[in-house]
Amino acid sequence: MEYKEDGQYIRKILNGETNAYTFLVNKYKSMAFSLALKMLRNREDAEEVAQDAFIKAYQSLSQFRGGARFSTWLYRIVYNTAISRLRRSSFEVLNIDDTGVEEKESNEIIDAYHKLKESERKKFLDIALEKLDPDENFLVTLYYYEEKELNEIAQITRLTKNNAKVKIYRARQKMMGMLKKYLNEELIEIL
Amino acid sequence: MKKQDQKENDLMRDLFSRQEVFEPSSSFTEQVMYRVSIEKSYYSEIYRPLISKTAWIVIAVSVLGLIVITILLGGEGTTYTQYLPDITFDLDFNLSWISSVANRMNQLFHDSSPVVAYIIFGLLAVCVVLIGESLSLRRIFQKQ
Repeated sequence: MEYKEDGQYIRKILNGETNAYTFLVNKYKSMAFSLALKMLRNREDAEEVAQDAFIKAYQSLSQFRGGARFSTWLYRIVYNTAISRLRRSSFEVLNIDDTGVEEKESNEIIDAYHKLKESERKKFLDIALEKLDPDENFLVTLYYYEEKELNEIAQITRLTKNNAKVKIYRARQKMMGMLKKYLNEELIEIL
Repeated sequence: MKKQDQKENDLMRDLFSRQEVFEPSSSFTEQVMYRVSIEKSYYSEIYRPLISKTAWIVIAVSVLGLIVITILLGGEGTTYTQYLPDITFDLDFNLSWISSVANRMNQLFHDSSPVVAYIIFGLLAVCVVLIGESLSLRRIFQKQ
């Protein structure tokens, strides 16, 4: 339904009703901005990249094929624009151990996580996302927050489906490792 | 391991359900739409061809027509008027048709000089109008 609605607005824009683009901008601006922010970690840069992405999308709207969702297509432009910006600014990537955790350990972490308060879970998420690589941050947000299928993520990032899956798996492993560390620190604080 | 993957994925989904979506500045949409309006005028005004395809065809046909007329009119070795020195195009080489065209052009310019003058004046006027239009379009774009 949402998909069809976007299509109707795109047809209006292509027929010269430029104002119809306001609908698409309002609908996707928050997610486009959030994704850019995950990559760039700077509000000004993220806003500029999100705006550029909307302009690029407008410029090539006639090339947009109805085969994909508008959001998928737009997020791909956001991703590419943010990647170009990152290359220019040579973003420093933190090295985080991605060995993850063993199965038994994982069960303990999951149990301990469920005992965390709402505010602590939120605090951990912010800390963990801050430490992930920009593209991992982008991928896990699309997968776990936006609940995009691996196929769509592959389209957005131009990775193969398997490559996207591996990257998301590695990011998850990193986050599990970070959660383990966070829980240990919390435990030490309590003791 | 699949079961473990499932459990970890569930944990991640639970975690990400707490993620906030960040809002851009309040003027975000206005700024994008302003840039879109510039884009629209840029593409519709600046990249609009000044001379359409049909106009180019008409110009090409007219030029060809002029050449054909010059070939068909008059004879060879025509001289200029009495006010000009006697110049005769009497070139003697294998590509004699060039000499023939040159001589006939001479005759046309001589016999129908007012007509040619009007044509040249008309073409100049069109050029001036087109250049003026092009400059004014650029000025409109810069103002936005």
